[in-house]
Amino acid sequence: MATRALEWGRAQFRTCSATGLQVDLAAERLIKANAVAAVLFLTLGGILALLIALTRWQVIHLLPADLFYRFVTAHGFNMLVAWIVFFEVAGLYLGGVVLLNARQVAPRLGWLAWLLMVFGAVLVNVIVFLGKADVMFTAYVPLKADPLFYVGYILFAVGALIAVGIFFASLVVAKLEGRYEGSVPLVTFGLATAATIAVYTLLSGAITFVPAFFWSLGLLENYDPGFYRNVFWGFGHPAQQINLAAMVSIWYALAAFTTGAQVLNEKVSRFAFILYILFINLGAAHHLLTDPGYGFTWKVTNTSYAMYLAVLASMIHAFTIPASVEVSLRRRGFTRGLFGWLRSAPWREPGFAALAISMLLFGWIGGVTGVVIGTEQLNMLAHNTLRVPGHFHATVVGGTTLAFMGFTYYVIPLIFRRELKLKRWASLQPYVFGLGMLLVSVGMIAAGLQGVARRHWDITFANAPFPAPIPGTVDLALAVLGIGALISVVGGAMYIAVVLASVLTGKRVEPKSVTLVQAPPEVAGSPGTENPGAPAVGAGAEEHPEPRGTFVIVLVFLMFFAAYYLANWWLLGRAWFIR
Amino acid sequence: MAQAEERREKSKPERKPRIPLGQVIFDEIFLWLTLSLVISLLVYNLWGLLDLLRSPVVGR
Repeated sequence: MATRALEWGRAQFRTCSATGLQVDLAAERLIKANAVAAVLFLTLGGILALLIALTRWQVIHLLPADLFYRFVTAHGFNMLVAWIVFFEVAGLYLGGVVLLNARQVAPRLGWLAWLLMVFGAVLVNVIVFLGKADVMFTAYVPLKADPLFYVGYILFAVGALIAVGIFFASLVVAKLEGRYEGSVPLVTFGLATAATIAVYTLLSGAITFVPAFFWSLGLLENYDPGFYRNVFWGFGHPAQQINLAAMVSIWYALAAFTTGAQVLNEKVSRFAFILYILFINLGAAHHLLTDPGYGFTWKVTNTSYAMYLAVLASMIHAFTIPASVEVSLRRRGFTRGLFGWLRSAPWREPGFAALAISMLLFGWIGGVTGVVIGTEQLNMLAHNTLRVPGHFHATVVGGTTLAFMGFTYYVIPLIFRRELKLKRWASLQPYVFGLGMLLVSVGMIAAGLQGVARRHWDITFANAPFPAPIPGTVDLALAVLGIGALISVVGGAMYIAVVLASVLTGKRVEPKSVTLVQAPPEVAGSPGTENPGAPAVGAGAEEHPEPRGTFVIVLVFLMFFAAYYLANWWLLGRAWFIR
Repeated sequence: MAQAEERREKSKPERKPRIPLGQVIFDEIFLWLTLSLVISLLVYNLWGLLDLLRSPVVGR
């Protein structure tokens, strides 16, 4: 009885017809509200992305300087903070309540958190668009914004911190009330990792922006820029590590939804999440690698030694997830050669496409470039060049945003209980968006390698007292960036169209299956086969399959990683022409 | 005889499976939260700020 609401205490539940989970209706409403807010801020950030990219594209150079800096500020906030954190809060309610069959703890407080976040985010946008905070995302002191800009940030952070507190309270209450036994599911554990990182992040945000607020009012005479940069990056970088942990959790969920994959080894995957919890925040130091105030030991300990433990965690997930998919598909009979399973994977299923492309962009582009940027000596080549946005557009946009987009398609029938409309668009969208982001990232990295500064409106440095030796080939790299941005915006618009069409005009449904377009491939003729088009290769299904194909992919990845890393040392060796 | 034995088995309180120590530690989310805060605040913030304070100030 999917639609019957069950009462337990004051909570009202429904039973999901696809997953069998009991869904507290209060949690469902909070998930919807946070997801809707996330998509609205993504839309705003996406429009700004288009305008910024058309300015970066040197031939077009659309915006005047003041609007460029203003829009970069707003784009950074809406994409890196508002869209992502709203979506993550929705994820926390899903992982901390729905996946545990638990009741929503303090739903009114959840609404207060949502209101604070909405009000804070709107306030930041209003102040920025009024031209009172052209300070970029970093808002480095001594750049001073209107006091209300900082108030907006603080309100948003307080709201998010309340939501994180509710998540932890939900875990405790669910355990005490016996809603689950043993350990929480791996996806919830990953989201708990995200929430753990969020506590440090949001506290750092408070330590950064509360003094900045008093300083902007004139009540604090001096705000030390060195101190600001330290605490700001305790907020700014771990904020993206919350994304990382949430994204990896969603990868596990998407692999299970779309291929029936089971985690290869729970202990190893959980250990990898714990490595994130313990060490990933320290990677924030790579923003300060050229800062003269810090010693070599602090820089290397925080970035190279500690960050590599977090990188190890990412590599564990990057092996485990495709390996789980491979094992699942081999068990279903797709055993031909090293990559027969990959050819037979459900590539038309939006969640699988989003998973695969998100992992590819995150690991091969974002991860590899991130390790290089985080190496103290190599950082000198990349610092404050377009290589840095090239790296984080691959991680945060190509990786996290694409994974969140793919996951949204499942939230629509399971939580909004609406039929997914424009299914063909949903199937194509991850490819379009992924191709666009690949070009954006590669274009930025190529331009950065040639010395283009990351934040400057005028890359030629006209009228500067020193020459800026930017070669003509930069125009090509920036054109690749611009074309990529246009393609990404089309992909983003397809996502918004699918979401809006489904939520506003989709039929009310009680889904019977988790998959949307293409069920996980089945051994032909086996009982319960859902996919009549599955090839008849299932006779040789392996009982204990080994992920041999994934192992080969990992070896190729490591060779690519080593080649890029060594190429950067070679470039560093040529930087000063010391003979 | 066999029935009596079966009854005795059924009347025994159900023994919960022993959870391995590693899993118990992994499940202690608040322990990890505390460690995360301590490591980040000490190694990144405090050590970094001490480095900044030790920096020579121009003109002094």
